[in-house]
Amino acid sequence: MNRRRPRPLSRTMDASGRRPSPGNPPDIGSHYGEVMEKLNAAQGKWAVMIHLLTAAAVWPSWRSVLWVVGTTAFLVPLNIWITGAMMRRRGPVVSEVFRTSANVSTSIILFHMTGWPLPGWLWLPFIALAYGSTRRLTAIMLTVFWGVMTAVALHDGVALIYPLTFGGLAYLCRVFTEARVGIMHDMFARSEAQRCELDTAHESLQAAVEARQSVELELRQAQKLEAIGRLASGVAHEINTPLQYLATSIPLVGEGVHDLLRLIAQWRSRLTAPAAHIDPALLGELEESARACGLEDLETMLVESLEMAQDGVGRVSTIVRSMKELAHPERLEKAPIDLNRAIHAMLTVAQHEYRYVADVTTALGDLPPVECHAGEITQVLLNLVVNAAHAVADVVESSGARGSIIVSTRAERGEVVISVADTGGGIPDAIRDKVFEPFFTTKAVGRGTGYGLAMARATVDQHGGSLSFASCPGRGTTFFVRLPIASATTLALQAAA
Amino acid sequence: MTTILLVDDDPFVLKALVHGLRRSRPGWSCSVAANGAAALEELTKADFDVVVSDMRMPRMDGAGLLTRVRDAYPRAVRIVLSGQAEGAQMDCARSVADAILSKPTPVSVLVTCIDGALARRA
Repeated sequence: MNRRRPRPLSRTMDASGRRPSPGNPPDIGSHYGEVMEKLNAAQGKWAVMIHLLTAAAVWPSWRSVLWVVGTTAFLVPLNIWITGAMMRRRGPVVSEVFRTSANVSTSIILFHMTGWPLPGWLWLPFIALAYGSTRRLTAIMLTVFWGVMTAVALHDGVALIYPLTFGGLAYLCRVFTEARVGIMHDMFARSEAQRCELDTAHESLQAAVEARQSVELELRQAQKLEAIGRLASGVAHEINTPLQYLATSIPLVGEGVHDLLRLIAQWRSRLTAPAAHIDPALLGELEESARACGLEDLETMLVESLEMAQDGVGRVSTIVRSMKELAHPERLEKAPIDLNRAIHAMLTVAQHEYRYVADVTTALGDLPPVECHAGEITQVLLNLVVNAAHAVADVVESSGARGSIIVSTRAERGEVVISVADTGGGIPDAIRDKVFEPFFTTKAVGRGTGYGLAMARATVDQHGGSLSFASCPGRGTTFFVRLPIASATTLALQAAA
Repeated sequence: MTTILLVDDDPFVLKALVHGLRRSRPGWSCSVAANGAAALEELTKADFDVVVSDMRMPRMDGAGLLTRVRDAYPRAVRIVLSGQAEGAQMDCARSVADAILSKPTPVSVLVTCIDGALARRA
């Protein structure tokens, strides 16, 4: 009998069949979890059926079936009505709704089953104990529970029960209304919206980080250029001092050598003259010494070496002067400069970029002095020439042939046009629109001056000019820098005068 | 006899210039000083027709020296021979010097420059 009619509380409390002893209170938490797991494993409608059968098993007699069917017949319409009332109120003000309910005791149980302050099932043992743990009360409570579930199932459909069973017992014990579902939906929508907001925020943050990185890179490049400029200026000054005494000494040595050689020749001719009565032995000794130090070759060697030294000093001077012109500290205001001269200086400095891949020709027309920041414009031109050299290098790399770069200038209608043409691979149509974008590059890392075409264009724009290009893929590219001869300020001053 | 005072903190520059000038113009007499202060001391000992000075030097720089030379010995020709081409010092030097030459300058150019300045002064 005991086996067939086990104590309902222990059945409720301990699904494993272990009876909790009075001195050893049941582990409600873990039991709750076990029951929840079992319920979760069952489909929604089967969960209702299981509970119905459980209720029958708790009170196993034909009367229990009657009791179950009877209370169901009463509770289902009641719950439908309650649910409807809640829906009408559009809010889960459950306690108020239950106060209006005719069946107060059911309402109280339902109220507790809504999960406040504990999930409904956790209240069951306490209620059962309070009622003296009668089987009947347990059956009532179970019936109430599956009654609610049936009401929910009838009202909201099995589709809602399904997620409920997965949501756990706390969900199961609650009365669900459209309002509650609505709240859940709202919560979900809110979290979705928050997720979208987060995504947007993340994207904008990422964009901001990238923008910052770009700016930092730009700044670093600018600082690097400035530092290089200052360094170049200092190095130029340091090199100029030894260059000064080299440039002074070498011609002196040259003159001295020339004089000495002339003197030796003179002495020799006098000594070997038939009229000179020199001891032949002494003459032979002198001739032997002259041969030993290679006097015949010495003359050619000295003259040629001095020429080379002179040429070397000249070239170093030119490079250092160009470097200084290129790197001299920026003046704040624009000044009229000879662009052709600046181009020569720039080409001297850029030599190592193009020397092995291209021949540079210049076609420099007569230009009036152009008002500009000399350093900035020279940087732009240097950048264009280096780009041209790279473009040519990419084409001739394997063949060993040489390309050509033509730098030309001309004045036309109040502006000067400087063009840098190369015989490189040209700019593919696909990237035509991108070449002036900041940090767009087709070059490998570390190649180029780091002074992008974007900055070149910005510089030219700041001068009131324009930077454009014409390209024929496979044949080459020509960049055009157009600069107004007089700056806007000067023109305004002239107009005012 | 034309007397020239060469001022530079690099002894090799001085030596090379002395040799160069002596060869180009054997009639000229060259003295040297390693900085502005030393140069002023030389100027108190003897009269100089020409002062050729570097810009960056310890103790007294070229601009300071040439300014004092202009004030104390207005007849002396003042020439700057410097590796520097820009800066506030150079702007100052430009206002007090008869000529500015940038290193490296061949001796022949220096001689021509001195000749021209002396001719103008005479």
